[in-house]
Amino acid sequence: MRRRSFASAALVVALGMTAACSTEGAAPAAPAEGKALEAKDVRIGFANFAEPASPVLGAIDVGMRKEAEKRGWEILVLNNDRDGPTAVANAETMVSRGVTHVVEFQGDGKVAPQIMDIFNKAGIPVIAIDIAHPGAHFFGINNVESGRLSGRAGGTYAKQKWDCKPDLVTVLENEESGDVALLRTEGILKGLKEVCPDIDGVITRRNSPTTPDGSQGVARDILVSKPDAKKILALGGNDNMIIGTINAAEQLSRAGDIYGYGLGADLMLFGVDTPGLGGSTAFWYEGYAKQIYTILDRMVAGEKIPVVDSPKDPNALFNPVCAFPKDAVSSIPPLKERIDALYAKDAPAKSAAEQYCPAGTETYGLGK
Amino acid sequence: MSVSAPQAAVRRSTVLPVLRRHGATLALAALWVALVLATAVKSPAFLSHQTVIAVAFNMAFIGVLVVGVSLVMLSGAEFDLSVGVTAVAAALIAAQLLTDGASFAVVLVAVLVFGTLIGTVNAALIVRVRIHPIVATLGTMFLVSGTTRLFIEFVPIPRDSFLRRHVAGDLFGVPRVFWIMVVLLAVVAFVAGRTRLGRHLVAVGGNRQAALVRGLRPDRIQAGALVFCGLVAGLAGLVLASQGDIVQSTLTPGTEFRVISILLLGGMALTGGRGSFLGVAAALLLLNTLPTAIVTWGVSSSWQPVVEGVVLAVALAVNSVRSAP
Repeated sequence: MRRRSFASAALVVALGMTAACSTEGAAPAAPAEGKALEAKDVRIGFANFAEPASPVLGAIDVGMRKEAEKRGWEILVLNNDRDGPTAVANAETMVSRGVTHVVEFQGDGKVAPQIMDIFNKAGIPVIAIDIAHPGAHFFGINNVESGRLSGRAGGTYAKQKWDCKPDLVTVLENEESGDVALLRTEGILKGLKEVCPDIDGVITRRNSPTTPDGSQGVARDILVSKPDAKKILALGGNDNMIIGTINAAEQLSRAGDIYGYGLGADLMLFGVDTPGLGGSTAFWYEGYAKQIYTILDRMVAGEKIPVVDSPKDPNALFNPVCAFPKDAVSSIPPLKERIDALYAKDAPAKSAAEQYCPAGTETYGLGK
Repeated sequence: MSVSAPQAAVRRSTVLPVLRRHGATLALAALWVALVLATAVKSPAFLSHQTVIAVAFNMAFIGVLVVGVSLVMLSGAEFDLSVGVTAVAAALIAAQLLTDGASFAVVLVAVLVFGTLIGTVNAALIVRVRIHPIVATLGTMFLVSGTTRLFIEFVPIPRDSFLRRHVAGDLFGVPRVFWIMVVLLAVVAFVAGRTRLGRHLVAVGGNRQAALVRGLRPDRIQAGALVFCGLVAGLAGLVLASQGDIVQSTLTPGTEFRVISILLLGGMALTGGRGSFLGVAAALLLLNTLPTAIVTWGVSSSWQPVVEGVVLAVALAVNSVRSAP
C-alpha cells in the first residue's frame, strides 16, 4: 500500500515536471485585457511574408526588430515563405513560444481563419499586414484612397494638358489579387472622375498580370485595338502595370503623348526612370513597422482597441500614403538611409509619409 | 475546261501526301487566317503594322523558349519545366551586369553560361541520376526561382545600355527580338530535319532501344538537348530583358503552360521522336495572335481565358483528328 502511494506520488511529480518542461520558453502569458504589460513581459511574434530579400520585406524586417529593441521587448521573427501551411505552422510555433502579441504577414487568405483559430484559442491579439484575417486588426494600405490619389493625379494631368479629353485611359488590374485589385481600381476611377467627370467613354479596363512583361502584352493589345489613340493616360494597380503600358507604347512608337501615374512607388523609388511616368502614390512600406509599433504600444499599455479586420472599413488601421511626383525622387535619401533614419534610437515619431512626402502633394492618413 | 479523271488522279496523288504530312499545320494556318479575317471584319484597323509589331513581341520571348523545349521533346526527354525561371534568372543577371556597367559581350556570355549550367544540371539529374524529367526539372525550377527570389526582386535596365538601344530596336519594321526567334527556329528546324545529328535526335526520341541497337548513344543525345534548352533559356532571358525598363524575379503565371500548349498544338509528341517545326510556328502564331484579337473583339477580361481555352481545345481536337492514322 505504501509502495503504491509512493509510486503515485512519483508519477504526479514526474507529470508535473513534464508539464513544467513543456511550457518552458512560453513564460509571458497573453495580455489580460485592460492591463498594461511590463516591457520585460512583452514578447512579439512576427511572421514575415517571406525571406526578407526584397527591399520591402527587408525594410519591414529591420523595422520590426529595431523598434522592439528600442522598447526592450523580446521579438520572435519567423518566415512564412509565401506559403499558407508554413504560416499555420509558424502560428503554432509562436503560441508554443509564448508570444504576447502577433504581427502576421502572409498572403494565403484560405488559411487565415485557421491561423486566427490558433491565436484566438491562446487569447493572443493579432495585427495582420495587408491581407485581412478574420478577427485580427487589419493594418496596411487603404487601397481605395491610394487608388484615388493616383486617379486624381492622372486626372489633373489630363485636365491641364488635354482639357480632360484624352483619347484613351488604360486601367490595368490583376483580378487574381481579388479585393485588393478591385478596391484599387474603384479608387482610381473615383479619383479620375473627381477631376474629369465625363471621361467614362475613353476608359479601357482590363485584367493584367502584375509582371512587367505580362502587363506590356496586355497594354500592347489595348493600344492595337485603339489605333487612333494618341493622348494616352496610363493607370493601374501597381507601378509595373504603368511602366509596362508606357514600354508597350514605346514598342508601338506611340509614346509621344503618354502619361502614367503609378501605385505603390516601389519601382519609382528604387531608380526605375521611365519617361512619361509622372509619379506614383507612395506606400512607404519601410515605415510599416513604425506604424505597427504605435498600435502595439497602445495594446501593451492596456488600451482596448476595437478590432477592425476589413480593409474595406475606413476605420481600419492604415499606413499614411501620398501622391509622389517622379521629379521629387532625387530629393529624398535612398532606402537604406531612410530605414536607418526611421528606426534610429533618437528618430522622431513621424511616419515615413510625414517625413518624405513633398509639401503640397495630396496625402491620405497623415495626422490620424 | 474540264479536268479528266486521270488528271484528277495525278493531282490527288501529289496533294494527298502534302495534306497527310502537313494537314495539322494547314488546319492551324487556316484557323489563324479565319481569326485574322474575322477580327478585321470587326475592326479593319486590325490589319495594320501595329498588329504585326504587337504579335511579333508576343511571339518573341515565348517563341525562344519553345525552340529550346522542342528539341527536348523530340529527344524523348519529355519536357523542361525550368525554362521560364531560368530565363527570368538570366534576365536578372543581364540587368544587374548592365547596371554595374558590364559590356554587352560580357552580359551575353554570362547569360549563355548560366543557361548552359542549368541545362547541365537538368541533364545530369535526368540522364545520370535517372530522375523523371518532369520531376527533375520541377526541382530545378524551384531551386532557380527560390534562389533568385532569395537574393533579388527586381533590377532596372539602363535605357542607354546596348541591350536597350540595339537589341530592342526593329529590323524591317519588325522587332529585332522577333528575328532572333525566327532565326533560332529556322536553324533548329534545319538541324533537326536535315542533319545527321537531327536524325539521331529523332531516332532516340522515337525508339530508344532501336537507337541503341543502331549504335547511337541516347543518353548523350538527350543530355545535349537538355543543355541546349538551358542555353536557349539564357538567350530568352536576354530577349526578356531587352523589352522593358525592369526585370522582376517573378515569371508571368502560366508561361510554362503556354510553352507546352504551343508545342502540343504544333504537333510535337510528348513521347518524343515526332514533330513539325512548321506546325510549331503555326501554333506560335495562332496562340499569340489570339490575345490581341480578343481585345480587338472587345471580349471582357473575365472571358478571355475561357475563349483562349476553347480555341486551344478546338485546335487540339482538329490536330488530333488530322494526326489519327
